[in-house]
Amino acid sequence: MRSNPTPSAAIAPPSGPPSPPAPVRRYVLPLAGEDWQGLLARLAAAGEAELALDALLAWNPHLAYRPPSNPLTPLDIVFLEGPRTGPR
Amino acid sequence: MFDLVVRNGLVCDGTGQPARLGSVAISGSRIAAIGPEVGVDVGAARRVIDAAGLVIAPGFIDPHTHFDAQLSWDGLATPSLEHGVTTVIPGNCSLSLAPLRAEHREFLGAAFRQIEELPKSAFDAGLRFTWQTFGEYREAIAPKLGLNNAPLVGHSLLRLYVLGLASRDRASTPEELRALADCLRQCLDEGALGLSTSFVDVDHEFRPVPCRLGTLGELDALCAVLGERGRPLQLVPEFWDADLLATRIDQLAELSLRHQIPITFSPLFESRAMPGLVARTLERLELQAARGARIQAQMQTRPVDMTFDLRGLNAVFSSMPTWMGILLSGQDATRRAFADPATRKKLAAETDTAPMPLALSFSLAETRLTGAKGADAADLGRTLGELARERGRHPAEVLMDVSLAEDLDARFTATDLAQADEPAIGPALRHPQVQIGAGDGGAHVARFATCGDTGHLFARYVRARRAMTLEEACKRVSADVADFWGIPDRGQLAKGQVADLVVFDAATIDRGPEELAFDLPDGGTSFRFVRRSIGIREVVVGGESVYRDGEGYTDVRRGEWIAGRGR
Repeated sequence: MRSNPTPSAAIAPPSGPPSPPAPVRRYVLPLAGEDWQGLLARLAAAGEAELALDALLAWNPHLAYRPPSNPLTPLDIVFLEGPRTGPR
Repeated sequence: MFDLVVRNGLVCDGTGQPARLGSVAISGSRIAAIGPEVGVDVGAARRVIDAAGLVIAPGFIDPHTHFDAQLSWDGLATPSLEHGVTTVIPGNCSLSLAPLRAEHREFLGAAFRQIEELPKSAFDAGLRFTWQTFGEYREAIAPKLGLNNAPLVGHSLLRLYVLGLASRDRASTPEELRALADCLRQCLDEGALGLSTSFVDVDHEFRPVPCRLGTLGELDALCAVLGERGRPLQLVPEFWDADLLATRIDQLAELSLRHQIPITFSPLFESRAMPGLVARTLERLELQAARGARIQAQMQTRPVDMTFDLRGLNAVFSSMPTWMGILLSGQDATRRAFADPATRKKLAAETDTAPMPLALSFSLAETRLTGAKGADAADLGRTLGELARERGRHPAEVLMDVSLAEDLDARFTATDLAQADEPAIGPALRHPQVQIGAGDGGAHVARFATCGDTGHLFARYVRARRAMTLEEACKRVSADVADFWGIPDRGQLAKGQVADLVVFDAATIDRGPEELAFDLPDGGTSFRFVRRSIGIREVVVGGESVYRDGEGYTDVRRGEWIAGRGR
């Protein structure tokens, strides 16, 4: 017996490269020469006024525990939220 | 007449196809014929290697090394070559030795020695900077090569060359960015295989390496140059955190797709300290591969072991700020701190509460005393946990006591810090988005032996675990690496290919035990850890034997400089 196409197959879009996956966590990259205060000010101006330095440091231990000689750099990933739980 | 015939062996040709009994005939530096024994007239050969009972495979390619300095005094990259490695890729992690202006040699040397953990005495005694451009560097190194060299140019070196020491402090201007792109083009023209960068490394002053002061736009512009020639990018990401790694993979995927370049990062560690990290990373790589991005994670085959002393900072204390501060403050300050009761108490407490460093599963109690000359020498080989129980002290106190008694020269070894869970690692080593590499050959010489990873692969994952076949293992460390990096005419045994091959006993191939060697060019002032090969019978580079079991290295130097193919 021949089965009918499934509804999803019948309406499948033309094949093409899949879309980029959603980011695992929201993040920004610092601007050249930007420190934490400058980053916070920029985020506030962009509508992220509720973000506090303590929260950013807690979500970014890879940056928080650096010595002063190793400041924020333009390629650093700064997460704007904590780790998500559950399956991804 | 053939120059060399390797006859009657089990030919694993690097394609992964079932091995067949046969012979390989070589004329000059190329394979002239390959096939069943009957197809080769061994009587018409200047030399014959009898490979009966042995495997004939393509020479292994090590894609992540820091042999840059060593190759200037040891063109064989010993002892990697005797493990069957016939091609190395140095210049990883943003650090090469060219292009380099004379006024920056001191800075680059200090940074290179700190990051790759090379003794200053050996570096100074063995390395003579006689070049500034990449082409001059090639001219200086190429004549000494006993194995093939396919070096990357480091992003930090490019920035240092164009921006000077300001590269440590700031991003590039538009004009400088054009100069960086031109400099990269020139390096590729003069013999660089590709580019390397880093998102994490710090120099000898614990400042970001110059490449980290670049922007994503700068990296994108340099990847555009790589894209003009189809050349690869290598980098070091935040390998210890699954979210950071997934985010980096997303960024890299955009670069790979936009410029149609292969990108590889290293290392990817399986570790008890970061459960689930490998699975999540592979899942992300698969998602991006489905979009067409060409990204591979490099995974080493050997477990991560580390020997350390307390004369300076080392990775196992990287998540312990009090320890880091003391170890960075000099040996006199370290001695004073270890003798101060209040500081000792604080240091001991920190070892109990600190998070695992860099995805390494580190336990002070399981760390062994492996180097002492005084009274504690009687306890060599025992764990700090055992000694702590016996002496009624905290393991950290034993560490400090023994170090003080030995004037900080005591050595300790932590084993299985990562890459120790073989049932989990076996499938990962076969994954299409994983490349076998990340071995760091030529670096960290007093911490662990970086050679013999291929022997370990065959011994543990082919022979003991049966996680992959002999044929697949050969392909993974030859043709797969050559294909990813665009290394022409190597990686397979086929007519017309360059005759780089290794003859080994599949029943015994392995890496030997870790040994101390005092063979660095400083006359024995410093040491390095090495592992000798087991089961390797002969290594051929460019059609000539360079290593023979029982005889050692020959005088032949047929290694080539490999600049890669491209568009």
